[in-house]
Amino acid sequence: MTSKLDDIIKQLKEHRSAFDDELNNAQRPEEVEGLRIKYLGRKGIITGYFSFLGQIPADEKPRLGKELNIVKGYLQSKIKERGDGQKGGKSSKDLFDATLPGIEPRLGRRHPLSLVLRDIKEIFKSLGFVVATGPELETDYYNFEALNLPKNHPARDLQDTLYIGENLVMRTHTSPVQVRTMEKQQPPIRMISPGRVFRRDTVDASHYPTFHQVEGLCVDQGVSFADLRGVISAFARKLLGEDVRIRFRPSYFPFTEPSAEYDISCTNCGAKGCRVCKGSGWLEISGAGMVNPAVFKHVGYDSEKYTGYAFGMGVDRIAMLRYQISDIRILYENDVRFLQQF
Amino acid sequence: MKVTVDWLKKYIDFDYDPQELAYHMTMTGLEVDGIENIDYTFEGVVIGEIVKVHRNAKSDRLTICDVNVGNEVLRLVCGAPNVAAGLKVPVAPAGSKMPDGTIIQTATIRGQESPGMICSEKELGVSQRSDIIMEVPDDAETGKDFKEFLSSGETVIEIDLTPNRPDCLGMIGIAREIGALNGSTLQLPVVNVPEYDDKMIEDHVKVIIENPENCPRYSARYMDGVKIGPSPLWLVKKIEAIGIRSINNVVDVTNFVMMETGQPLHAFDYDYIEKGTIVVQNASKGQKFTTLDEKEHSLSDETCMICDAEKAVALAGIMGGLNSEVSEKTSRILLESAYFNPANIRKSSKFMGISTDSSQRFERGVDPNGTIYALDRAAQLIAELAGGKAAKGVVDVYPEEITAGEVTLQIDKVKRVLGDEIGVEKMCDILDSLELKTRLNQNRIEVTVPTYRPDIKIEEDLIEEIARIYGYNNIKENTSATISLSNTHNEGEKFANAIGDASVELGYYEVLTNTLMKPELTSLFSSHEPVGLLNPLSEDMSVLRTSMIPGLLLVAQHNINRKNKDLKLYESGHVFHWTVRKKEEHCEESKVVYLVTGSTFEKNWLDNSRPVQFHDIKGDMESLLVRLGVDNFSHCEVDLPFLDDRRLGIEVNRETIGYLGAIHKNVLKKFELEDDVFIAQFDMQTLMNGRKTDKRFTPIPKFPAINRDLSLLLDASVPAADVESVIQESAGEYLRALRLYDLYKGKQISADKKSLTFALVFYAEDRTLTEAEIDQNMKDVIETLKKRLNAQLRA
Repeated sequence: MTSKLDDIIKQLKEHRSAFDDELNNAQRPEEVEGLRIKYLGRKGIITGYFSFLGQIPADEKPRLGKELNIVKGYLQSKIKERGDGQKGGKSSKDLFDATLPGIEPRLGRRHPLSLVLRDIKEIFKSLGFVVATGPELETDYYNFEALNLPKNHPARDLQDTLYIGENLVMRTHTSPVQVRTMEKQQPPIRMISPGRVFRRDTVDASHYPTFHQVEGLCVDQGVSFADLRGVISAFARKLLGEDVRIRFRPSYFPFTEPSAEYDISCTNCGAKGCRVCKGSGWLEISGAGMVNPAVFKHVGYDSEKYTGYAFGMGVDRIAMLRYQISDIRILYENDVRFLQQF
Repeated sequence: MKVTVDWLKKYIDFDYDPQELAYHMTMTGLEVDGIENIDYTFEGVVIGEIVKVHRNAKSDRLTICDVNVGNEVLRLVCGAPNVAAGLKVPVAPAGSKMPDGTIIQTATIRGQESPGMICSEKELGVSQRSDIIMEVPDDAETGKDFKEFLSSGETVIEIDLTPNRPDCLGMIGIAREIGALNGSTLQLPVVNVPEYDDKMIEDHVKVIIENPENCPRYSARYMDGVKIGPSPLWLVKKIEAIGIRSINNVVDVTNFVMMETGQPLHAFDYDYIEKGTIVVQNASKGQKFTTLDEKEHSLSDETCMICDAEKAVALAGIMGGLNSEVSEKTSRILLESAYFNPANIRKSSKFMGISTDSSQRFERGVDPNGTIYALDRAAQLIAELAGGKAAKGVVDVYPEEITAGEVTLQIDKVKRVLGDEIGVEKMCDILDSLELKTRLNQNRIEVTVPTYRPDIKIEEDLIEEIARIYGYNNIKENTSATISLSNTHNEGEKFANAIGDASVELGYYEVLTNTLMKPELTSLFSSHEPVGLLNPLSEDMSVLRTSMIPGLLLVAQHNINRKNKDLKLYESGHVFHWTVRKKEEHCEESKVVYLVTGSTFEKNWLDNSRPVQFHDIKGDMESLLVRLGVDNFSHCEVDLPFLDDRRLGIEVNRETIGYLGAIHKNVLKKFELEDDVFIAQFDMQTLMNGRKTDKRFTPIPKFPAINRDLSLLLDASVPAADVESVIQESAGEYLRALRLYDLYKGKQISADKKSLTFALVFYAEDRTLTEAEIDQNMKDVIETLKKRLNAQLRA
């Protein structure tokens, strides 16, 4: 059994195909206008069906209304198409303009520091390092003492610290995460700790009180300075390209001995000397070294059995080098005209 | 620490040019920050010799001098008191240029024509001294360009010294490093102090140390017949080149010897040292003391003081007192050369906020066994430059001798740490070249570490010495590594990455804002007590954020002020607050926050955009949650004062994981924002706890679906969600999807009504449904809606 509604819908379909045929045969605008009146005029065929809406059960009304609107819309657009094409004396296809701008989707963006950090993490993960994170508000113990920086040690001046309380500081590096990890786990350890760090630096083109670091740690039997050199070198080549060169210079950090700073050959000038590297051909990246036995003592590792290396790097600095950004403040200003470039 | 090349050459031979020297120092651990040639900015000034001095009849102050400038003799007018025949002076003939750009011209002074002038140090920019004309050493060549004479050899190298190397806070220490590089032998100045035979030190100076823990050694000398005056040019040039102002001959000598040996010295005016007695003791708390820079300091009971029999005369190791300072009238001096406890000096220096060349050296650790050499060296130079003689002997209170350290190096440890082979002989050579005396003992090297190297305590320290002289870059790079397979991956990090990816997919820009902010911004968004900094840089950055919303609102403000009005932003980061402030107990949490404002998109030639609304961010956040696997969330009430009525909480398993809403007008006003701003916030940990990790796929239907639309007329107050749940309950098991796609309020219906239109999709997994059975389902739905919500079907 078919309902009355189904009948009506069937009839509508027939009218529609009849219309199509008639429109195809219509040559002159007068004929097209005649069709409009025949189907859509005040007493037109389709218009007539709208009166059924009052005669059918309420629950069927939406369905019929929808069908009627579809047919009406179809007829209108067909007639309009013909009208437009004939008025200009050209078919609508000839007016198609491919040079109109494409409709841009609204896309999101990662912050450039996130992009650089993601690359750094990817590389170290491929070298067998795991990612560990920790608190930004740290105890003096984890930030300093466990890293062989007792209170009143002159090396505390190397990092101008923001203090929260007697025993609380904003971490000045992400090394505390390494100490926390070593406390929980015996070697072998192969980890990086990315994150936000803080220094009491007045804001200028190269300083911002918060910035981002990645620090790495590897502890095992037989880990050496030669391994550290190999890992840093592999990392730098993967991040910056195969021809990048690395040099190590002696330095001092209480938590490593021997301690080093490492530079990369200037990515801007290919180590010839330029404005970016201040003519030296080298760019200072950060510190590294062999973990000081005093640090192992704090976490209960046997320094006769295990050795380890540690290294650090500034994410902001690397991002600034990569994108040739000369003012760190733009990274934290978050102007969308800046962000949409990445 | 600044050094000059020719000063270093007094102690060590080397052929490096300044660039090479800087390179070698940098590569062995003394990082060079800069190389600069002393640049004097005057032009055309030559060395002249005063041949004859005529008094000017018209003035008692002015003189007329005949000055030989090499190729001619100029007759010049001069007002300085120290002109004398035979004196060599800098002469600026007419046409020469002064540092301020003035061109010297022939002038007529009191009727006397003067084709140039004799210069003071101040006029040439050499020092601040202007009361006398500058005196040039007798051996300087007459007629020679004075600029060339002054700057020859004066290349200044600035070293960014690491705090572990106090020995390199003196020229001799740095010269020793150069010796280790090129094999030259260190040549120390030979010291010979002119002493009285009949005046004994014991009769003039007595030293008592009451706090040997803070002052392990105090050495002193007494000198008299000293004549305070200006220093000779060579001394002025030396110390001023490295940034120390010349004061007078005695003070300059103490500074010169400090820069030479690294040992700070102090000269007291002996006349002001009561009973010639020095007492070293701690200050009493709150005691006041005025240093020679005329500043008054309040002391702590840990501050080590140098006192005489009655009063304090110096802040030990930091700065002398105004009351005993050497002045023009001084003829008797007491010279101090001491060793103070590094930690104590550092504490006092921090406590009083004074850092001096002296305190910087003491707090890093000077050589406790170097006091006498420096003392004698200074006494010798004072006698040479200021006259006078020292009493016989020194007072040297040194209750407990600090002896050279012994560190044993296991030879195989070097390879274990460095991962490369360095021959034993090479190791010994390197250590010996640094004056670390080695004795080979089977598989060990026993090393005697002099007291000027307090940084060497353990064998790793020796390994670093070997490695840095050997060359870090000569150690090989290992190209393979052992990787542990037991490493676990980090769930939190993975989840944070997923949030970032999902947020970007939804069109959000990631921002990174400052953790530090203004206190008043925090109170608007959190009732928690913010964590403040003890030493903030400014009020604007004095507390840690308790919420990330104000940071995002500031970013919105920044962008909107620059006409970037359509914003979708997110940030994930940490927020902080005190839980029990007194016990320093605090809470640090990870949050992710979203902000949307402006239009839905930038309007284009095809489509018009519209202002964003609450339901835009709601849709984004619900998609985000589903995308993250947190799909069993439900809505709940939230009450947050910074949101207006358009707000909603989101919970999973009855735990609130976040909320979203429109920022209240009053809050927008504080940020000078006008348009609606919508925000959402989630707590990372609870969000992560709420996610389902066992994602399974749902089979795609094999049988055709039946679609129905349902248009309802309802009381305007009925929430859409209520209608949805009634439909869900009453539509039977085959209802697979339900979507509200139209909302109508307006003329065609009465004002207290609204119309909602839903699309329903039905299908079965095992067969084709018939229209008839769905008709029945629809009837049930309509019945139930009528009964429960007084809904009517709309025509």
